Amino acid sequence: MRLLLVEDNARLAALMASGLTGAGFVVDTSATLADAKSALSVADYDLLLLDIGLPDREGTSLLRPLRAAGHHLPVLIVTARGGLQDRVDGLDLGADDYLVKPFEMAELLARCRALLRRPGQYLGVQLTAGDVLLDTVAHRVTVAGHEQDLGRREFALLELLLRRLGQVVPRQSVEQALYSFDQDISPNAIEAVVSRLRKRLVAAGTTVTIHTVRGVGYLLEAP
Amino acid sequence: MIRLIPRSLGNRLLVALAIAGLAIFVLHVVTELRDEITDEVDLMDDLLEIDIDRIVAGSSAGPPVTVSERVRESYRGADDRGFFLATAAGETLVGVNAALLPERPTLTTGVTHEWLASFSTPSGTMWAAAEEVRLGNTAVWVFVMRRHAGEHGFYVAAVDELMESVFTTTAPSVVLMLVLSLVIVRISLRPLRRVAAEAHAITGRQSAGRLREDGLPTEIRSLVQAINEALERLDRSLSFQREFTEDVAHELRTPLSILTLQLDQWPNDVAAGQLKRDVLGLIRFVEQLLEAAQIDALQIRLDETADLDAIARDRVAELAPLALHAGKQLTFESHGALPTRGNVEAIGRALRNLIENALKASPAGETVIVRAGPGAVLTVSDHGPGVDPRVRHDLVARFWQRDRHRPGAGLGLAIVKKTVEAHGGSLGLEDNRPRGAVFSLRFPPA
Repeated sequence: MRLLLVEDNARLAALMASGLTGAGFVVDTSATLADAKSALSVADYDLLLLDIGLPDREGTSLLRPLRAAGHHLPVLIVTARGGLQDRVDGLDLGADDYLVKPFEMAELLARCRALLRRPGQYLGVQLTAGDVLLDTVAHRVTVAGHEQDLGRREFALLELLLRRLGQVVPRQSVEQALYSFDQDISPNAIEAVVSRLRKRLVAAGTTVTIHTVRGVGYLLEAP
Repeated sequence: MIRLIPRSLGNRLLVALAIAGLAIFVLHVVTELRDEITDEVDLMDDLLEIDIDRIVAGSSAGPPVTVSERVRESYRGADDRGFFLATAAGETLVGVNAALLPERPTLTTGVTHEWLASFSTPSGTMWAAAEEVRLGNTAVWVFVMRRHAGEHGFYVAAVDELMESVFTTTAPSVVLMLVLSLVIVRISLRPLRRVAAEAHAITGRQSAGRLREDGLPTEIRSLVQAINEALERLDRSLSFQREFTEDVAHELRTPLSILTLQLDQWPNDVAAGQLKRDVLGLIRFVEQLLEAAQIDALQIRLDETADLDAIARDRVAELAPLALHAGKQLTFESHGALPTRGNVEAIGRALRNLIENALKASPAGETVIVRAGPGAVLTVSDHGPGVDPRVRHDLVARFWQRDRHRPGAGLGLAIVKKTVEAHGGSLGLEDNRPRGAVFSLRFPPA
């Protein structure tokens, strides 16, 4: 996985790069917007980490032409700006996520992986968490290497939870992923699917946990 | 105690005007009395006129025309005073000592109404006056004669003059002037009252708060302009302060990132753990500083609608992993919250503050419940130790902390309170049963 890190503070860039490299990413670093533009034109990246306050121009000025050209490159804005409107503005400009400094390495990695786990992205084909591996193309699930035979809805739910590992998946998203619009869903239908998946994973001796956040949704956690 | 100088400008003006009125009154009295003292003609004219009035008052039209015994008695036996009533034709009707008039003037009824003369006689000056009066249907001439003013003449004339001119003319004028002044003063001070009402309405939050300058008299306008300029300067220094705080907090974020990432690479020993906690505390402090600065500048746009249900759901989703890591539960209950007007991000941050506090206060294994509604209300209830009633008031004061050893600046609740108040709402605190606290954010419905 190759990602481009645009950050003008050399020390911070070096620390971020070292952390990301340690997690298995290939990292190129640009300190200016001009630098970043030429890097984007010569190499294919899977993810762009973009600081907004750059010495030559606002980092966001890179976003608009990128999206206008139809690039689906995931962009994570990493910024010191955390005003009430900044986040909304950043996402409006076409960023996929917004991370305010300061952050821990684990948080940065989680955000990067979450973006890459989206359908069509680098990690979007094979989703893993703990000892669970889900192959979206081969439609296979293994727990600690043992293949599991999951129902269609359980598979879809697990994929959804894996794509947003460590984050709460709202119940509404689950409904939309598991049922079509015209289907009537009984009040505890989702609960039943979650319960079945949970049982299957526990029976397989998994290390991951599916938590219920009452009133909101579900969350898959890996140790 | 009665204050000599009243507080109200209106009353001050009234007192000043009353004093001025009194002065005019006294001046008038003095002038009148001086005339009586210095001018003999004036004095005698006044006295003779008083005599005429007395005689007329004591006369009856008849016929025949008579003068009361009391009046006649007062003239009888005197050699220096006399009177008589005569017809228009000059025929004497009644009188006492009529002979004292040395020479009768020719008076034409309907042409002359008053007549005054002095005659030199061997026994001194004789003053005489005549006035045409109507008794019943008859026009008669009243003649009076007097050789001198007499023992009390001056006082009699003075009192009469004062009664006539001062009390009947000057005093009512002064009173009328005072009443008019009261009305005028009240009307004139109306702009000042308007300015005061406007100044009252200015809160610290709205930086655009200014007093209207239109329609003000120039004297007040210059004061209002000066106040507006002072407000402008205050605004500038306040916004400079806010921007400075925001800049500092922003600038601190990058070095704090470096510190955090550097610490991530350290081996996980006790020293590193302590250092990490310190850095986390520092980060939290900087974040709260920034939030406090932003909330000071927060202007709630009334066209923004905030869905409290969605805000609560999002924040619970955001913080649920944190709660799970700490071995606690975070749940959400929707009770059909009404939407409010406000800033979604700001309300979300305020709620996050309350949830973080509740999670901190809860022992492991406990559940923090976030509720939206009923009404435009968000509540966060925990089963922690609750809040001692004695410190409730201090709870929202900046930098107050129940546990001084924990990281976090204690700015949190102050920010929450400011946020909800900026939305026209209020922060509430109640006891949870059997223990714990329930914090609520109440907003006006959209």
